[in-house]
Amino acid sequence: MDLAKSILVSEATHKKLMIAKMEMGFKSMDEMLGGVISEVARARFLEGSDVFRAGMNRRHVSFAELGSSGEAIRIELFRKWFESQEGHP
Amino acid sequence: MKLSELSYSESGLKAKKAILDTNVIYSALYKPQGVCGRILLNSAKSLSQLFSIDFAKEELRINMERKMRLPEKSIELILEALPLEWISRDTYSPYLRRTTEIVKYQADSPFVAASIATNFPFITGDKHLRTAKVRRAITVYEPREFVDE
Repeated sequence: MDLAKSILVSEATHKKLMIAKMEMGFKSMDEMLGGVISEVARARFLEGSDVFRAGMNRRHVSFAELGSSGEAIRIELFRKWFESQEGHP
Repeated sequence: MKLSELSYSESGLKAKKAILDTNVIYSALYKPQGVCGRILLNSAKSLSQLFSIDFAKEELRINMERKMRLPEKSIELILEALPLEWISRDTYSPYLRRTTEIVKYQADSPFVAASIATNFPFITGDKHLRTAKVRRAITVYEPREFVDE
């Protein structure tokens, strides 16, 4: 893999990153930062999921209800987005 | 699996590519520890590269707004938390006419059109989108098939 970029960090952060890399057994800083990015993406997704479920519970919406309203919206959207286009049914 | 369905992830491993139906996204958000949740979490870990279409994003947005009465800020948070890339209609709309003849319900055709346009497989929980007719045009997986592959 080509390493195309460098990033500027403070001395203190650099030291912490180097220690973390050694302690966690990563082969490179690139690999460790990739791991950090993945964890952030995972945490964001789980946070989104919490907000989603809280919204469903607050409104007492079941999963089946959500699916069927989604189908109705899909039909409505299809008409709005594509049926007016020339050449589309 | 076709070669075009693979790309290199950040870890250097081959990452599977696929387009998701909204039912997979709803299911993943509702139960992240389930099969659909694993599909999205694998994408967060760069083990796969997932896509859906702008049409699906709009469906999700409207559904959360109307059915769940979620505020705009929460809707944005949820949509941005999805480890997905959104394919724009410019990419798949040239294939729509062809796909409306393949699918049972016309409103599903943008997903099949996007799969044809990109050559990425499509993951859906809907049986009516996994018919022989659809399978002749694109590669379709049910969520578990994609995880087990």
